[in-house]
Amino acid sequence: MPRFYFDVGEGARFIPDDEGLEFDSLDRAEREAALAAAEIGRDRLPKGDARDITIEVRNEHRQRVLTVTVALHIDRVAPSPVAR
Amino acid sequence: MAFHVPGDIPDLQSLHLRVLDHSLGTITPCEVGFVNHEDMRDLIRRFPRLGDVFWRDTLIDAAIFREWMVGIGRRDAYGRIAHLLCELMTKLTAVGLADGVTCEMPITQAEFADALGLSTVHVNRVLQALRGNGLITLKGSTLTVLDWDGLTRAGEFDPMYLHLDPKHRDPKLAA
Repeated sequence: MPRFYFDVGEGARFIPDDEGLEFDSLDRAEREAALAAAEIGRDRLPKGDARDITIEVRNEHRQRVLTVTVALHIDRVAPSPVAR
Repeated sequence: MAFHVPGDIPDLQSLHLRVLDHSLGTITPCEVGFVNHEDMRDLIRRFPRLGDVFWRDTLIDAAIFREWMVGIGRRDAYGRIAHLLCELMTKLTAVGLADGVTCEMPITQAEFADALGLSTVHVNRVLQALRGNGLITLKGSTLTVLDWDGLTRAGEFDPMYLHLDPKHRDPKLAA
């Protein structure tokens, strides 16, 4: 089974994957990356220490095959005063 | 979901039920003892205090399930994994299979992920973070806790729910 490496980026922090995981297809690896990015985003993004999570998936030759990005955008606006 | 250690009786959960509604499996070579349910019920009828002990055992199982439910529902992955490592170290130390600092951890990242409702990539990231923060080391299948207080804080681990003998509540005391 082909091995894929999942490097995680959280804002300025980069966590390389030296061990990798085996998946029988790129589709499965993409699903795992998407799931992991959503989960890590769920944990990290509301804390505000990163505004986006990226997972770069590399193949067994360490070549990048896809990137998943999960971002949280907060748009705070100052409403104009309401006339009474 | 639960990880059992040697000496546990996981099948007490089905003693008074007609159907086993979950499955049990081994992740390492194990010696497993089987006791016929009818023999067990007969034993309890003849020695009611054994019935109390087995009942207590299943109540502790329930306490562990509650703790896991809170973890899966409310703790982030970092806290969930820290909590599980604390639980396993405490249980293994209580039965003499760990020294409070180091233990065999034959559970794969994929099994951790499945048990805690996480993706394997996320588990890998969290284990690296726990290492990076100086709380644990994992070499092969050997877990060493470098900072027990830090790990219990990360996992909000309070061993009360395991209802252990007070002398087994703190693995540090075994070290």
